[in-house]
Amino acid sequence: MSRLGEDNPLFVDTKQKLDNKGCGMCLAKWTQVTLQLQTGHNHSCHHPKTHEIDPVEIKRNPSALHNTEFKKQRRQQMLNDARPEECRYCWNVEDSSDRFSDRVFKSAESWSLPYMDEILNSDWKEDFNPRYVEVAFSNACNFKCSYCGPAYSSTWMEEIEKHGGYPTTDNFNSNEHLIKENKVPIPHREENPYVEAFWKWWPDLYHDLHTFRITGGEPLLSKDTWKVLDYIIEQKEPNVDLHFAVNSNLGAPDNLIDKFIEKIQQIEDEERVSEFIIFTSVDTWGKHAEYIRTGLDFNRFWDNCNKILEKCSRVNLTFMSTYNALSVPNYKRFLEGIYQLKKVYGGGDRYWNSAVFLDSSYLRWPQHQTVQILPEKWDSEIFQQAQYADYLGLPLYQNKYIGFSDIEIQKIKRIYDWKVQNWENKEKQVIIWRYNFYKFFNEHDKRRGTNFKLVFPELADFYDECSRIKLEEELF
Amino acid sequence: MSKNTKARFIRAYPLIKINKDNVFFLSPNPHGLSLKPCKFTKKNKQLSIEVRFKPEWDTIKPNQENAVVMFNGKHMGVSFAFDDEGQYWLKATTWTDTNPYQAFVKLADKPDIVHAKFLLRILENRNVLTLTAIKGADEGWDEGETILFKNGVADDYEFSYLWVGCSSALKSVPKELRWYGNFQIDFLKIMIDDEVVIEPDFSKFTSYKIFDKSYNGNHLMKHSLEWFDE
Repeated sequence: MSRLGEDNPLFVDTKQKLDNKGCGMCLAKWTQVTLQLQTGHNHSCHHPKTHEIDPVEIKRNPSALHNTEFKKQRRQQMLNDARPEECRYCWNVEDSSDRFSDRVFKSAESWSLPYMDEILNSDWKEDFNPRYVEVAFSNACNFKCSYCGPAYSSTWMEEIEKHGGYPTTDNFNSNEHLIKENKVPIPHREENPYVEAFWKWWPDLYHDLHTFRITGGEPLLSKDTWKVLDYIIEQKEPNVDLHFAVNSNLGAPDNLIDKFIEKIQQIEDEERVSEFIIFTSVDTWGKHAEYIRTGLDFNRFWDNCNKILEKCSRVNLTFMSTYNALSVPNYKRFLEGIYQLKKVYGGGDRYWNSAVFLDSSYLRWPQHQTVQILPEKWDSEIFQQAQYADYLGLPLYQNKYIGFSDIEIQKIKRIYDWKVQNWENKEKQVIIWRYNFYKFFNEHDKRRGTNFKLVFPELADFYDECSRIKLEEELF
Repeated sequence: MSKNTKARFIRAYPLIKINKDNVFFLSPNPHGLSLKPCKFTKKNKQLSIEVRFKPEWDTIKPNQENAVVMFNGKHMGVSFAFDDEGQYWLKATTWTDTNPYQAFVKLADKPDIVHAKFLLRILENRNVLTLTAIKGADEGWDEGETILFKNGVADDYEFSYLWVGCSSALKSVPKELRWYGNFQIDFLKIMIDDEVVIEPDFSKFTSYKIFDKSYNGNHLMKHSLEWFDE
């Protein structure tokens, strides 16, 4: 983590300019947005909670998908030397350490910094087209990953509507909090005013974009994803500086995967974007991965990864691995698989240095599935996985070499560092999480016809131990 | 080892050929993934290096020093050579701050396989360096030399890199002192104070690294100026 005063001059200079305007200034409030069109929410940066988009306002001004009244009031605070409360994550970092907070990093990004003067001199009431946009068009998804939920998966929604929340102490994935926060997704076959507004705004937005990333749900199941791809293909003057990305579980029907490949090839061949990255998700290898992500056929998924890398000569595939308790037993095998992909498809003229990247991030929520629940004996296994990635590591970050980069290795090491971290009351919390772990997967097996102990014999004794936990009231 | 040492040696692993274009080293792990650093400090009391290798005698000139495993700086480790009189030698070298100390073992005629053990013990009032050529139980004996010396060992080893196939390939070291070795290797184990710190698995390697099966994360790395230009 960078520290004030002894750092990259870019961050020092950026912070100085922001602070000259106001103590709470952050360009991301203008330049970045994540649009959850399935629920009509957005946020500009992942730290503040999402807030509602006004369905009436967007009829008049579709850019209010981003430029909401709520956000404009926070911009006003920023331009007037105040700190918006919703950004307290950064204020905590700044007030309790000598480190730069994310507002500095985000403001120094290439999709923010060039607009510094324009933003600092703007009126808070003005609309501003964001440069970094992530959008989920719908929650349509053929998977129901164990740590996901109805807001992002229609199959999860179906299950919860049929069976209700899980019998954990927090009633995991019950619809209640979605209803309370007005985040119940609009079914993807129904008319969605937010999606409608997006398409009105899009022609104006497209040429201003630096980065555009489609998430979901499963984007390949959304007609709007195809509409974006076709729009890029049909443009006489495409935005060739666009960093374009699609998140896909690569488990969609074959005809959609093939159609996706055709579109990518055309965009690649005609150089219609600056880069095209596919982000996919898998958390370990084989049957273990299938258990974590209901709907995944691992071999088919792996075949699709190979197919894309083989047929699309420039695209990069990033594996977002949400490392959780069930990832641990088989992750080394997964590392070998990723390494093989790097070997087979390495080199060449890809948008990025390596054809394949692994982004291992530890699961934080739901807590009952985090690595924290596992007994200490698994700590060394996680450490050895980081060592193994290091063994398969690159000597230098250049595309002529094959292997894991420093950041890929460090991210696995971070999982270990977090696993062995201690905090007050950790032991008590872990007991509750283990209790919920059993409650969740026992119910999961009943609802989905799976068998935890059969798939994870390594964890069978631990699972039985968790089944015997009785919670005293004071632990709740 | 049994009588068919040679056959077993060759079958055991796909041997790794070591020569001036293919030497390996171990530097501090940049990711904090080494559980036991391969460093012999003033606090340590014992260093053991056990190594088995097949010298490429036909490619070696008389009196040419061939480093097998060495810590750089004031070179410490195992090397081999043959002299003008046709004698084949195994050598162990270490240094105090001022003087080198060496133990020698005369090898049988042009041995196909050499299995050596270097053992350095730091005692209260003296140091003991023992070099052993392990002949195996079937032949009934090992051969070795032990020397005694005083004044601890040089400071260098706290900061040294470990090298396999030379004494050091750092650019700052004159070529004649790099002692590039010509041999094949199938076994190496280094222990510091009775704990294994590195045991490369010579059957498991990438284009750049050899896996450390001791799980201390001390994977040997191939030396190349392309990615390691000090």
